[in-house]
Amino acid sequence: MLIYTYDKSFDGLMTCIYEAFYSKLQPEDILPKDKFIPNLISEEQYIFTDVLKSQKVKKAIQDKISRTAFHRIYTAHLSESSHHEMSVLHYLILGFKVGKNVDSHMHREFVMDLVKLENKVNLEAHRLLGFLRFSEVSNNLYYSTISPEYNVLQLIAPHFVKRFSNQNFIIHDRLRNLVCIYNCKEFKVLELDEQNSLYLENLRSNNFYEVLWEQYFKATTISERTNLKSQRGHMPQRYWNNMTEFKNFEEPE
Amino acid sequence: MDIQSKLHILSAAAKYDVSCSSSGSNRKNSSNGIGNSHASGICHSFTPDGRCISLLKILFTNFCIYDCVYCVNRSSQDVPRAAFTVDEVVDLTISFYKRNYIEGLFLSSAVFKSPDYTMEKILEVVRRLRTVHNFNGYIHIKAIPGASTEIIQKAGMYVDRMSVNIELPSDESLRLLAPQKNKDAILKPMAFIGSNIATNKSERSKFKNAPTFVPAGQSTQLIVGATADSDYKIMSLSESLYNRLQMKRVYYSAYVPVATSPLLPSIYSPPPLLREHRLYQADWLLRFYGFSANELFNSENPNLSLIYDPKTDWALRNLDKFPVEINTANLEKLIRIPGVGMRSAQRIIISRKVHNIDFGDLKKLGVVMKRAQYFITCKGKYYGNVAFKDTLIKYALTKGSDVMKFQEVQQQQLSFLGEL
Repeated sequence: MLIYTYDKSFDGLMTCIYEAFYSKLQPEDILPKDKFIPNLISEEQYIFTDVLKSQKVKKAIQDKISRTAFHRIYTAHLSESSHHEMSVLHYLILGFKVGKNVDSHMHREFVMDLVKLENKVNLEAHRLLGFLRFSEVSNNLYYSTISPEYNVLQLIAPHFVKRFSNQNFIIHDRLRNLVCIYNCKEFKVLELDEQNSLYLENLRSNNFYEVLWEQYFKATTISERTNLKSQRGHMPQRYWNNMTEFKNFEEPE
Repeated sequence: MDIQSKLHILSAAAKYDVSCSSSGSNRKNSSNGIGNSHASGICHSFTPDGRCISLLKILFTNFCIYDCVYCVNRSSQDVPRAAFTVDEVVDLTISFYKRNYIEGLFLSSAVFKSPDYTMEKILEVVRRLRTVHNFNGYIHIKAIPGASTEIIQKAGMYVDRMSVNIELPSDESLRLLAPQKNKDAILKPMAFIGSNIATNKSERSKFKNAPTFVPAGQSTQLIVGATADSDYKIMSLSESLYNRLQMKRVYYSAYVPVATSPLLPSIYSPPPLLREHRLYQADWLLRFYGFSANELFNSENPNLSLIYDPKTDWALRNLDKFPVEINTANLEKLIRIPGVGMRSAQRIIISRKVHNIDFGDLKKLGVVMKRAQYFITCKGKYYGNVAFKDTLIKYALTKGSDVMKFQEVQQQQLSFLGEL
């Protein structure tokens, strides 16, 4: 059983697709290198990321299938979910056959898989547009930590750049140790080492407006309508750690 | 009084206004400005009552000259009173916005001194936000009934949404609970805003740079359960507001007893949350699913069923229009099937171009089979787990209905109130 492994990057996945199309033997599975566990029956083939091959695949998807399809694959890949790679491969095999109609085949599992993953990633990104909190750590420098389930930092960054174009800010993805840094001119997404990450996390300072916000949050609740299930449905508790209003939050019983 | 106490009093006094949306506007940021608005709106937090915080919702003041029986800020009520200054509101809005707490400002006010004086204050806040601080976030303000049209017109040039609350859906209820207000004082500013929005729209279609007037439209709110008005009356009013005044949204607010009066429900009665939920469902049917109020109600059924959602209820009363064949029905017919929403209907239409849909596919496309199975056929075959007969279907649908879920929530609230 042939298994492709790759470096987790989108270009890596695109190279795998290229290889799968141009080799005689189709892979049974495609996995990130660190998720592969060697065993007796599977034969590993590591695919080195090749930007040129990746470019060719990307262009072919946009020209021969559609830009929507390309966007769907890219967004689904950000979910980092296991086994989305094979759905992408099957989706593209069908896509290169039927062109832009591929999205009509929603009764096929691999199409619906990607649609669902895309929706999940977009939902996570949309929620963070609201749930992300900045604190002012020094004059006109704003810092925020997030721990998103999916790798959505690069999806949400442009929104904040447009909205806070005159504000220096840093958005820190603590789970992946990625930061988005914006200096009022341009933004960059970088990887961070342990030391800098600790330094950033210790930057936060309490502030007058944070207390006011906590107070507003309490005052605007209608206790006669308490519905904790609904609150958690809309805003799962995994977001709460990073949110100002939940720092000293006591749950009503 | 310090800003903390003011914020506490004036946000607690504003919380019964349910409007929370920040959608419908796509104001862009300017080069030296702060903020923009997001067409679909963004929720920034959810309070323990499950309602979203999108805008900083505050009153400018809760000093009021009116004495409306149902209102928490009526002049005869003994509550702490406060008033913001213009600078305080502006500073709070900008500081909260920069930390991404909010999508913008929702400024309302009790009527202080006179309607004109109150409206002037609101105008001053929004003028300063837009012109001095170049704030491009979302702003929703209340048009104060009785304020002069010039001030409302000026304020409309700065804001994204404006609203006038009707609160009580009939003239009799108004006379009973808010004797100092009358229908005309409420409907006049509404009609004025509505016609100005229409003129502005046509101007903007001709001239690209024409200034905007209330680009996200106007909304209003109706209180449910404070008076004896039927759901039929409420939905007919909503329908005419949508059709005649180009209203963007009508909100329904389950009445939370805040005052003792022989005219009102007892202070211990829980807010009618399930009824409010049903009204929102019916409202969606009016706005997006092509239903009319006369289809949903008749003189024998003036209120929505609490057991079934409005679409299921309608379908059960019109079983002669069912079952619908999934593979051939058009969009209008598909969205009238209980359990099929706009999104799943569109998916059905897209995917049946390349493939005959069978029963197993529907769940994958997002159809709620629990309800839909009784109202459809796939390739001519009926798949419901009981025969196509109204009594059997009704019985099957009653199990696991929303009534049970809401009773659970209400239990939770009662125990919470008991501990206070």
